[in-house]
Parts: sequence; C-alpha cells; structure tokens
Amino acid sequence: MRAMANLRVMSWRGDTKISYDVRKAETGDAEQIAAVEEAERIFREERARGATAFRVDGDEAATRIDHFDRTAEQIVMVPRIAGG
Amino acid sequence: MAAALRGLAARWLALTRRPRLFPWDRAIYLRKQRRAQLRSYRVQAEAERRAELLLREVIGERAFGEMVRRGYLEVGSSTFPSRVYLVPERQGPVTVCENGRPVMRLCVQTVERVPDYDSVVMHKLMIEGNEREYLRIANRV
Repeated sequence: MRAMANLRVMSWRGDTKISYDVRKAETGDAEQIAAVEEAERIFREERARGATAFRVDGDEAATRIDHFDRTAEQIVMVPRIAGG
Repeated sequence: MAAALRGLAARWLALTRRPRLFPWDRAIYLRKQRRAQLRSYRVQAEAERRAELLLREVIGERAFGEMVRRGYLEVGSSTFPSRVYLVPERQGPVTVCENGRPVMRLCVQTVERVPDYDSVVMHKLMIEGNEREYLRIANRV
C-alpha cells in the first residue's frame, strides 16, 4: 500500500483530486484522518449520484469497486453514463 | 373602463420596458461580457489540461503519445480475447474490432459533460473494469 493515495472525481471542470495518507491516518494523524473521512464522504455522495468508481493501480487493469477502498493507490470516479 | 385599460397598459409597459443603455453603459456591459467569456475559456482550458494529466497518468506516456499519433486509443477486451476497442481521441463513437476487422460502432457518453480526454479515460476504465455494463448501456450506431 502506497502512503499517499488519491481520489479523483471527473466533472466538466476536469477532475478534482483529493489526496490522503492512509498510513498517517492509521497512526492517528488528525489531519489525515479528516482527509480520509472527507474522501469517503465524497465517494459515497458520488456513488449516490450514479457515478462508477474504479481502482487504478499503476499499469494493472482497472477494477470496479462499490465501496471505498483504503488500500487503493488511486480511485477514479466516472460520472453516470448513457447510450449516445 | 378606459382609465382601467390605460392603467393596465401603463403597468404592462413598465414591466416589459427594457432600460435604455447609454453608450458608456453599453461599453461597460460589453467589457463585462468579454471578461465573462475569457473566464469561461480559461476554465475550459484548465479542465482540458487536468483531463490530459489524468489520461497521461492512467495510460502512461508511451500510450498517450501513440494515441495522439493515431487519433485513437486501443483498449483490449477482458471478456472477448479477439476483441479490441478503438476509443477516439475526441468524443465520438467507439469502433469495436474483432480479429482486426471492425464489426460495430458504439456510442456511450457521460450524462454530465466532461473534457475530451476525460471521456477517453471513462471508456478505458469502463471497458477494463465493467465491460458487460458498458456494452449493456451502449447504443450501436
């Protein structure tokens, strides 16, 4: 597990990046605990709006996730899609 | 009766009349409009820049260079071994190739408008991580 992780939420403004350090959060760093909680809140909100979340780790193929994964290096949230 | 009608007409005119713009007011109005337009271009350019950074991170520099050169990104199917999806650099239909031959074109887009490169990321992630749902939602064109 990498120390710094990112949650990236796509929107018309490009993507919004939320960075958090899971290791520091586990050792009790208040700032990082708040950052992880904020990332989890945004994740839940976006999922409720119909976004799909993917775990992206380096060169590996992306995998869909339904719950916030603290061990992920990067989570990318794609807005709801429809047939064009 | 006539007085009431005149009253109504006056009220209607007061409600619908647009304030007259003096030349200096007009200049201020146009300057504000131009500033808003420039701000909007800046926001759009910033969005495109961020989207490019995300795409470079997700697919890597080499694949990004290849995509720019070819005009599309190749994404292999995890479900059908002989299938490859050609995702265009700009938003548009995705070509599905089987054994090197195009067999269909799919149209999928985000409900919310996103920059072109974010759209490429969306196609890649959906094909890699959620292909069946992607195919279920896609319209064949």
